Amino acid sequence: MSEPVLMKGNEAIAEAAIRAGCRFFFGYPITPQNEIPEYMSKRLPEVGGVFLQAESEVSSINMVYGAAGAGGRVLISSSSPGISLMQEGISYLAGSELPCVIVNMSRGGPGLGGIQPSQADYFQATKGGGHGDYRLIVYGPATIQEACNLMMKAFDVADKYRNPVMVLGDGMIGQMMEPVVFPDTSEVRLPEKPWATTGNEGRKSNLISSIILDPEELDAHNWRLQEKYNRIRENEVMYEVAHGDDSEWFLVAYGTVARICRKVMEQARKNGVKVGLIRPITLWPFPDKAFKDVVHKAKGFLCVEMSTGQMVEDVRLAVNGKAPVYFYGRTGGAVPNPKSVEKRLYEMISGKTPVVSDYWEKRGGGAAE
Amino acid sequence: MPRVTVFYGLYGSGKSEVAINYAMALLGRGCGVTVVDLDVVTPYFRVRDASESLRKKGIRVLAPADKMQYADLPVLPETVRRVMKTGEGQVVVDVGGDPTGAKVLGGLRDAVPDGSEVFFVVNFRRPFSRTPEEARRSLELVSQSAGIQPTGIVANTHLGYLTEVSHVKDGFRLALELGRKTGLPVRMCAVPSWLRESEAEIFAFTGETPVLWIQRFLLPPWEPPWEDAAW
Repeated sequence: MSEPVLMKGNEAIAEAAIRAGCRFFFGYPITPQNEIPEYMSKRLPEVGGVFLQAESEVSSINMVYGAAGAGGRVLISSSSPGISLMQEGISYLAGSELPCVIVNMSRGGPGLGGIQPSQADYFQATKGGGHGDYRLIVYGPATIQEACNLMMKAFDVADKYRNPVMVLGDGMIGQMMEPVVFPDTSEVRLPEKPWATTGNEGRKSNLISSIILDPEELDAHNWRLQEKYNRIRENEVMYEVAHGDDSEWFLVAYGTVARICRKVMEQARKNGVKVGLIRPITLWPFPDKAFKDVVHKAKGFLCVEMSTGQMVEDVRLAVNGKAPVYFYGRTGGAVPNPKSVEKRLYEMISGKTPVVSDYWEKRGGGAAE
Repeated sequence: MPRVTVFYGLYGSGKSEVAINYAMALLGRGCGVTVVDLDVVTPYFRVRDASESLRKKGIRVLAPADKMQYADLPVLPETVRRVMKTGEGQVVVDVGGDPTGAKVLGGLRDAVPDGSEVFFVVNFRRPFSRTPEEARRSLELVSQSAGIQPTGIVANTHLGYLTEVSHVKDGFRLALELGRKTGLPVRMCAVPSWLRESEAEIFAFTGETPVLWIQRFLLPPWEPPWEDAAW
């Protein structure tokens, strides 16, 4: 273990990538993640790596395809509109089964939106984003230390499953500073990649491609990918449950919002209210188990997001009608105020707020304070 | 005391918090104070994000107004040059981080009166200023980009909520070493205000150098002072 340093989330993510053996970065600037390319542009040349700012997000994601195909550990980062531009390339990476790590420090949308933090890219990250039947493994860190740890893990998981992995932060995770300790990585050994296109001396040529014209073959390819995704579902789910044992009410949140909800939970528990927190760390695969474990005794789940309600759909699927699910959200860069979350929590407990299925019909429940 | 004090340095070295707390200290001495936010490179945690609470305390904040405060555009208030040149009371200037952010000051060089204080803020627990030699290179790049040489160093080594007196002490020693390398005096030692209970221990190593107690103004929404106000 090294000494703690004080880092912005973006810097910590970049440094973690380098320590995980990442030697290739491609990208195009966009707020609020610019410290990642900036940091990489300083650090990668020091370790013999390649930093390349392409002319667009479309170019950079295709450069990732090339470098990943050649067996490199590759990072690309952007923020919401930039990630949208990359979707075709991400689908190609998933189809060709190429490992890489994609960071999205998301900002308020839709469209050009704003530059303040947002979680409105949850659908895009977890439900496809690009075309075709594919999945990204998606991590949602809530602290800078966790962002650093998950970055390192992301490269290993990407290589293990030959699949793109996304670290989905929001601008707040990227911009805030916290102390970080980097684990000792002097022993890091990168896996062999016999499938990579590294020259065919002494062996048959490798081909990396996502074009499969024969419908039977493409069907088989898709079902094989699904088997892989099922293995990921079995092995890679991560979540945190706080006070699961004695709680009747649950706050559900990831990333920055989980920090706010934790404060609210701590305060409510001081007041004698039995509230717990479910914090998905992998957003895909979604931690259904966390809900199944507590749903028999839960009186309600309040999902809080910086969106109009995206993860709440997965919460409802996991809860499967066995308990009421409620929602509170702010969007566009407005961060939910702990006081507002607390108010919603007590409204849920006192039965004063509609459950989520009614909420959409009545167009209530999520508006600004 | 010169009328204008400029703070520059690397990203996240603590310029904005130091500038705000310096302004608060000036206010405490009965000075009229204006804080000028020249940061056009950082999207969050800027002086303008605390402008409401600063205005309530009686500090003027000069920053891009209205919708422009949320933009990542190189926009400055139109009065900035006049305020720096001839404004009333004390003027505290917070410059954006790194050579990139310091460029803005370069464009306003003529508005910085002769004899102004220009402080390089350094946290030795931050990337690219982990050693005095690294910090010296960073200082050179920042001051070249700004086109203005520093007149002193502000030692601001801390580790956020993990900060202990030993970190401050270590950082102060490294700042003195940076001072020897650059011929600059260490003009202030910034210390988190919650370490005040150990002030005897702190004054023992800061000696003649004034200590600036830092109360945090630029915080994520789940941290105090929200907590104090709410519950």
